[in-house]
Amino acid sequence: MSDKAKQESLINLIESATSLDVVKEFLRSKNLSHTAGSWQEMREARLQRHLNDDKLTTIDLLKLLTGAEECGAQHVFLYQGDKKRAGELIDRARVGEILKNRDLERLLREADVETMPEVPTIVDVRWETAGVDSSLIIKEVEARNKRVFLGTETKDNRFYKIYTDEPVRAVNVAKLHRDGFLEIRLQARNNTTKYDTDLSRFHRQIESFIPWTEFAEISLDTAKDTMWIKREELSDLLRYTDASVCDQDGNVVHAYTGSPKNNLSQSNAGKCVDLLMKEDAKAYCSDSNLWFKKTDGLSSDVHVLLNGETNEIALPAKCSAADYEYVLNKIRFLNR
Amino acid sequence: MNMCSTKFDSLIAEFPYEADAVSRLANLVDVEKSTHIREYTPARMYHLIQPSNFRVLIQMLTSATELGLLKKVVRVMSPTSKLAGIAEFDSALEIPLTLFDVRTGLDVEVTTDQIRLIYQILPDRECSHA
Repeated sequence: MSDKAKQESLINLIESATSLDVVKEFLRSKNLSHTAGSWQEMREARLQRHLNDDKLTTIDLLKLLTGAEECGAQHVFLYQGDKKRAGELIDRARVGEILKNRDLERLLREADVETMPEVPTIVDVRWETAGVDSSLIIKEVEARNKRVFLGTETKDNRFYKIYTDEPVRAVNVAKLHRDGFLEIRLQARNNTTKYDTDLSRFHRQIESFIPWTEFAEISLDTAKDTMWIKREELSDLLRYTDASVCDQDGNVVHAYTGSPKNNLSQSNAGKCVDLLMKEDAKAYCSDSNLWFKKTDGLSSDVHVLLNGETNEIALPAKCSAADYEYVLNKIRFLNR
Repeated sequence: MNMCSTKFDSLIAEFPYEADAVSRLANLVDVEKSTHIREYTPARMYHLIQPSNFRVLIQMLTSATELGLLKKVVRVMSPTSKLAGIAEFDSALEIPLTLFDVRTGLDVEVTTDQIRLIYQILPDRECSHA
């Protein structure tokens, strides 16, 4: 792919992955002219012109795309492995050898730009470095079908629901930290909450880099309990819209706000949930639907669901890399 | 030695590296603590008994079920109130395409999103009387 064609593909992907505001902010941070009322104006009068004037490079566009498509609208699965082993796994010589064996050595120089690959494809392998390599990131792109409901039809005394499958580009990311912490981020689907098949396939894809049987799932039950119990103390940070507490008999108390904009945290409905926890020491917070509020540490509200697998965090909407890191770190801190 | 401890000895023999987790499972299963059915999702079990990883947990729970220490239930949840069960089966293969939702009084189509695996501890298990 020529550099011009690559830039064109990158701009298309950026347009589908993020908003005009994010691109404007990116250009502003580089002290480049950034106002644009439409994507066409952004593309022609800003991005293309800055590329032609060598004020912007293909690498800059790749970085913008990376930030835009790797965080949020994902189901994130957390694992912990051995620290010493993680150091070995992220070693550049080892990873380079695997890439060579898989004919992917070019990724050490530059990420591939794949729009809709025929099979799920690794497009980027890179490290985050702070003196030493602090983490290894592996990114995969896959073409998925999104099932869209078209309508209904009655024919020969039979009722038909009609769907069409629309191809969509999905991005999945594995990030192994030097301390053994592993994040698997799978792009969210619109028609299921179950990710076991996607998870198994992605594990196989990255098996040679990160042997997943060496990692254990991190239970997030402590974080769920702590966040709910300390919600008053954390009121500047959290806003709950749903919370469920379950006892050992399988009985559930579920409270939720009428409006998605309301806050359950200080409501009497929320206090009803507390009652079960107070009455039964073995009751636990089983499901949480909450928002991390825009604060000094967050550029906008971040919606989080903790109601899936033991180690699963769902972020239904896209967010910036900084916001993602902030939320992830807060949850990990509250899970101790 | 009672029947229950023999069964846990058998679990420890099958999972020698998970002796602590088996011990925590034994503590959980101790029926003296309860006179009625108690139940746990695999995720809750994982949190409570802390095995090495989730794969091992599922193997342990499968063996514990075969030994009669636990009962596995496949529960279909209401699509309307997702935390409320509407039917239970021994196996996912037994679930019909549609079910009557007792929570809403409607016939509903069953999807995989509505299916939950539950492990129950029954108060009248054989080992509790051994």
